Amino acid sequence: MNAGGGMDGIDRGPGAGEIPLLTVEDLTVGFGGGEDGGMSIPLQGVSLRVPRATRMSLVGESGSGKSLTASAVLGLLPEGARVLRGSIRLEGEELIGADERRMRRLRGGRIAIMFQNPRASLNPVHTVGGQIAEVIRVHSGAGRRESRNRAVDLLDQMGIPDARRRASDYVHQYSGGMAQRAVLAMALSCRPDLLIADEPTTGLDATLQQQVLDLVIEQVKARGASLLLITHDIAIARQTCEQIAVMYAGRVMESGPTEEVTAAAANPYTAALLKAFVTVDRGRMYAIPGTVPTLSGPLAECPFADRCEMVGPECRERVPELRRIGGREVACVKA
Amino acid sequence: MTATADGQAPAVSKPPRRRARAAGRLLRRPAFVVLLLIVLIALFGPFFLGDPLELGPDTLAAPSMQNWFGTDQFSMDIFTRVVHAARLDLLVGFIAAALAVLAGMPLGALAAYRGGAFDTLLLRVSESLQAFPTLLLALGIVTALSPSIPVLVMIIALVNVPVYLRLTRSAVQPLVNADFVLAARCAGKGQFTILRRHVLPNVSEVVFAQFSVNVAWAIQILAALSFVGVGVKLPTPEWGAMVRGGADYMIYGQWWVALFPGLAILATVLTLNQVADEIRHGS
Amino acid sequence: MREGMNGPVLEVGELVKDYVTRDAKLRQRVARAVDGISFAVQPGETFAIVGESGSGKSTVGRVLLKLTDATEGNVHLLGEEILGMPERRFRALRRHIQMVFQDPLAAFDPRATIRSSLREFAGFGGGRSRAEQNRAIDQAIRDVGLPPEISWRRPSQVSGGQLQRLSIARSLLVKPQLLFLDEPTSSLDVSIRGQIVNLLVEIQDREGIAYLLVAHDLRVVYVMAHRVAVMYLGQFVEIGTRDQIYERARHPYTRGLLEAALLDEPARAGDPVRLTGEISEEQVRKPGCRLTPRCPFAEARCDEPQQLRPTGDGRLVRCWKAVEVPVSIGLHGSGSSSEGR
Repeated sequence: MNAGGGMDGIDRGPGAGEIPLLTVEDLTVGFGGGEDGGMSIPLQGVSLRVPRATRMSLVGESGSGKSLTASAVLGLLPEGARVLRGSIRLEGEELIGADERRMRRLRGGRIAIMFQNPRASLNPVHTVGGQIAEVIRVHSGAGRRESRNRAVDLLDQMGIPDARRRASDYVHQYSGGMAQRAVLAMALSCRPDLLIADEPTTGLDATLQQQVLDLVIEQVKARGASLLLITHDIAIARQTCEQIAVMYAGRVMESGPTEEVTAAAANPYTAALLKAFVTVDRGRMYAIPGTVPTLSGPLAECPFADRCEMVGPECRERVPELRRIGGREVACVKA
Repeated sequence: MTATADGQAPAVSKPPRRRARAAGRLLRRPAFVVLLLIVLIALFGPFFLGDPLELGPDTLAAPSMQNWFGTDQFSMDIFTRVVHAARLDLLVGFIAAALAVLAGMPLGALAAYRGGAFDTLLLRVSESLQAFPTLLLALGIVTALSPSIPVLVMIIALVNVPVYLRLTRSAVQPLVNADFVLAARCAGKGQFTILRRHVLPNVSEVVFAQFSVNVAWAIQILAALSFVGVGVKLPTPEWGAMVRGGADYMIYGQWWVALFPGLAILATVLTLNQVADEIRHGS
Repeated sequence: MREGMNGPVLEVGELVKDYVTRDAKLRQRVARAVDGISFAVQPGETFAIVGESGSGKSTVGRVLLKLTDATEGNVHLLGEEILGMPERRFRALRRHIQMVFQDPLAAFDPRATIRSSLREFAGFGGGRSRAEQNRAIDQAIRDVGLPPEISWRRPSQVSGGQLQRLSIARSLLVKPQLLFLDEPTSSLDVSIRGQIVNLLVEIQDREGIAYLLVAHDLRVVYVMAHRVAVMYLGQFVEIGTRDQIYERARHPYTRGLLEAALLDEPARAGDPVRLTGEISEEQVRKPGCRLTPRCPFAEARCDEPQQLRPTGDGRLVRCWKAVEVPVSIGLHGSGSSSEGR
């Protein structure tokens, strides 16, 4: 546990200048108990890197730990969760153990977040424009009028028609799609380097989903920011992001350039997920047998072993490490 | 009927046996244990003690080994009287609250399930009942009628009915169109079966928590009515009446006459409220 | 018993469902969730209704099961008109039409064991002994690939996928002719979804049950459906066989939906269509095509009322352009069927 310690950036990584924007290494998070054994370990050594100005997706089913990873990065782990091991660095600055004031400044500033339910992210008793202006005022020190104008500009850039008038509306007067645009405006208002979008379109219909994702990509690109898109939908990930990381049972199973990974998955789980999600078979759908394992202790074998078509005895010997293979990293002994 | 046509009837699965660890569950609910203790004292205590109306040698004797809680202005033993009074107070509390539940819960459930004019009517009636300050309402009715114990019980029950009606109604409302209720309709079940089997059991936790609070409340109302002189009259052992009787001696330094029955009320009410909390938060 | 009847299991005519709500000023507002839809479901087929949320597709099924009242129209279940039928008389007919819910956890009484929930269905209408009920329950659970012992647990003690299997087993206990599947996979994980879809297809092949499938997941619909109706703001805008819809969709809304679904296959005829904006109930009050504010091909004539019109290959489309001048909306006649000239 390097809590508190690594603030001075000892661990700057090998090649200078090539420090990724976000580095997560061996992140292990546990819930509850400890000694008495009532512990669950939903993150079992997650490692991933988000380079600057890159869109990366974090794909997984429920219980894979994808949202928890994002919470850990934001320093917003739920009650009872503890980081047992690992490190999270934003351009070399260790975030695990960083004090709450520092994290708060990062959250509104260099890291922005966009949640699934836009209505829950906006305060119902303040106008939409007022909230965004407030964020701008606090973070940039601009005056009231100036902040207000910038808020309206942002809403306009997000494609909200008649932005000046709509800025004075409350969130309940916005449709689902419009509300998610307003949340994006708020997230981008303090010019973040990293936008974390946690299932930003899951509650929306497909036709809207596409519009919102297009907007997110366009805005992130235009601002030179990075995107960490958390989604259960590998088809969305494929369409939106250059990089992909596939999670299962609290571990990254495979990560790399999206095109490479989706064209020929090296990890059988990625392959299964692609088949289940992307391939439509007539009269029959691809199904992965079995269920996701419960993470009540440290893993002893590949977590996908029970459901894998290619499983062999070597899969049961230990937890496969992420290995670099060409442009990607794969956690599978058979890869 | 295709898959079962193989003739051999497969063994029917049996429910797993489960040891009820009642003791363990009780230990996690301390207030429940205390309440049980209070009830046991009320039930069996009087058998070990003397007549609560028996006069002793001294009036207003301070607490001693002889009279643990001292004696009152009539020279009766206060400890004996406090224990005896528990019977009456708890009985009135439980019966009044139970009557209120029996009337309020089905009405509230029906109001929510039926909706429409029936619902509106019930709601208005209960609102107008609740608009009166509880004690004032009770006071008014008691003075209009003659204050006997059954009358007191009925009145305390009556002022509590709207509480259950509204509570049950608001708890049932979200269940009316819950999928599992619709599923029961798909199984061809009628309105009353669904209410009894699926709706009421799912609101029972809320209602039982409220029940506990209401027993406490009923005891308080009874005590308050006795205190202002329209409830139970001395020398009948009842906590409120005893506090009333002892209050006059407080300023002369004979604190024990009012204090011990007062503490009994406090302990019982706190315990009941705590039990309500345990029901709400318990597993 | 299926030999006797050759007609459709279910026939729906001009079904209308209004919801009456009150706004902040207590004025009555009528929202028309379903606006005059007609269709029939044949024995053993899967008829799917697709559309975005707010299209009214789930309401249709609930009206058919009489879980909510219809405003107008008629519904024949196995030839019998049921909309006007009093609840008490319909109760016996319920065995023919059952439902599988979207969220299996909400579909089971949280306090009861799964078995007692199943028993309610096993004992439908009475007349079965307890032992017979038990055997039927155990068999039904085995039929969906689970061990019968699981039924002694409570709903919160089994996984979502297992519970959805049990929900299917439950509705099959009464041997229905028609099963209304209300988004049966959308609360489940990707890897579990396929298991449920395959199970449903297997059951249909084995038992010959008809399905009315309501879903927004176009992959699931593609695998399960024989015929598909596309619904927008209470109306059907296109009805056809599955291949007609997926490979040669005509209506701009259908094409926009397919485009947004990010399907890999099948290959589709015509230019991709991207819809703008979002679904808005305001459009229901206007006489013309309800898609106009979102449609890239909209023009003045679209503000006239649109009817569902046949295109010559057996399908119905509610878009004059798609029927009369398909080329103008990017359909280049690449489909195998005639373009309905």
